[in-house]
Amino acid sequence: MCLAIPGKIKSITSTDGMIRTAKVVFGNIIKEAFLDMVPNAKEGDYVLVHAGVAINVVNELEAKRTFSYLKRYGGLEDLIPEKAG
Amino acid sequence: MTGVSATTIAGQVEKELEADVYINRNGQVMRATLRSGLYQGDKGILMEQRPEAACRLTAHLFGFCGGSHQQAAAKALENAWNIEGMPANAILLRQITQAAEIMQNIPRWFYSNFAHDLTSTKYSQTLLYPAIVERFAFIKGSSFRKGLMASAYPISLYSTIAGQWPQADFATPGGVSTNFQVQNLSQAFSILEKYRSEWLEPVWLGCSVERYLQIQTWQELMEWLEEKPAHRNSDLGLFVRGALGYNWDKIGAGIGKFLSYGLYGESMLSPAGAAEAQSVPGGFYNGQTIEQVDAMLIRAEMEKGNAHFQYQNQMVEVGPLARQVLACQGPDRTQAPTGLIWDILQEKGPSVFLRVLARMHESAFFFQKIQHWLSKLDLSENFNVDFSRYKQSMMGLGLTEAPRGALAHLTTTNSQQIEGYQILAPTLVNINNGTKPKEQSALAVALNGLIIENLENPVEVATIARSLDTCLNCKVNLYKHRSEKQIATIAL
Repeated sequence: MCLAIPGKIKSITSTDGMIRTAKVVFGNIIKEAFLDMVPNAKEGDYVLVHAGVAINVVNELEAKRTFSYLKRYGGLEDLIPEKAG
Repeated sequence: MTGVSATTIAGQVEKELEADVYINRNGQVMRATLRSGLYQGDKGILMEQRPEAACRLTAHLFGFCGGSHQQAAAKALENAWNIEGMPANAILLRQITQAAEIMQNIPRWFYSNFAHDLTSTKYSQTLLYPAIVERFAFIKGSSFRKGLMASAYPISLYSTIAGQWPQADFATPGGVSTNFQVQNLSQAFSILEKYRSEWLEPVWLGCSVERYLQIQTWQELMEWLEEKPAHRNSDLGLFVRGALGYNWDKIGAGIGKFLSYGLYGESMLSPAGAAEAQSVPGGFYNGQTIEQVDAMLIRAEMEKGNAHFQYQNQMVEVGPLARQVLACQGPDRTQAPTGLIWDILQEKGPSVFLRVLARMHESAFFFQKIQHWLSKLDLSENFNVDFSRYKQSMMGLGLTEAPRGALAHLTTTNSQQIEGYQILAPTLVNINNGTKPKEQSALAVALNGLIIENLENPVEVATIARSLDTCLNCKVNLYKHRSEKQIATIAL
């Protein structure tokens, strides 16, 4: 199973006005993700990223709830915002 | 950071698979072992939580298949507490959301994951290669964005019924929690129609869903290809022609024994009820005959706690191919198996080609199922039963089908809290080996005997792994079989 860790969109880049990609922050790690499945996503939103594609926007409350669950699991501090949960 | 390496962390954000592949002097795979950065165990996070909390917690933690985990968790409690009399509406909505979660994965998996292999330079001398690259190249392919955008529709459908995917509090013991109303029903049909009109028919099939689902045999598939240019030139047509040209119908056969738990499973429905609900039956196909799934065997195997999973002392394959092989029984399981995937399995045997075709077949298969299930809803009736009177100390098993295949949750609860919890996820069934030769996983067996043509680009290994949907990134360590000396490490 993959742990579904919400990441926060730091910035969005548009190529030729068509392909939108985002830098997504997971704690101390930044990954790039395509935004085609979430055309309304904006900077500051939390998204779930799977295989390089942001597959859904999750609201802040649910994201924080997930962080609190992940903290119980432990060992994932680099992926969770320090102030989360 | 404590407890896990940076590699493992990255693997948990995006899945990774590491394959140790041992080859002889002819480049033929003699054996393979697989490792993943996947979360595998330590369900301690669920201990001492309220029993119902497993539905919410697993949906949040394993959110890429969050709806599936939530349903498995709810079913485990229903089994533990002997909850009976689930309303038809709840069964239908669970089937619909489960199918929607499977469907959202299909085009996204094909265009952003599997297409890497279709466009590999290994095949650059084949006739169809330029057309395949034009259509399926990562990012730049003409179908790439259409596929990703299509994947958003099933998510929207799920959210219309259940709330925010994948973390909604939807499946609860005894039913579902929803505000689904008449206006949502028309919205759901409308979303489904967009999935059909914007991707499924014009891009993927090149024909109507109804015409495609008339295809029942390998021969009829070949005839459909020749029937019209729109069929040959559709993404499905191009995939079929390309994959056969790449000889993908001759690699990655695997174990040939398939396990599926089905949607909605057998426990809640009589044969007549299953037929009425157009359920998708599960079962175990041992290569000869189909048997019903024995839940006690699943439970016993999970209680053993082995890294590898066996059913009737045999390693098995799970996933869309297994699901479609068992779905060929028909909802009430009284008829002989029939249908496109069953016929190709009997005619040509399992392969990378058939595994991918079965996964993509589900885009039309579940489209039609969801249409039927939506039409059967009676919004004036209940969506759940009160489970509070059922609570007791028991162990319960919840079986369902996630996008990647058979998923099981085993819970031990008292009326107040969880005392034990185990999850058996499909990817782990497909990749984890035991220690004995007969305990090789579906993926390891699928790799055995494979001839790697170019040791600097062993793309065939990743193709077989991706056909089982284990990961996006695949790192292959090649070793000499006899000396176990490492030859190369290649990221694919």
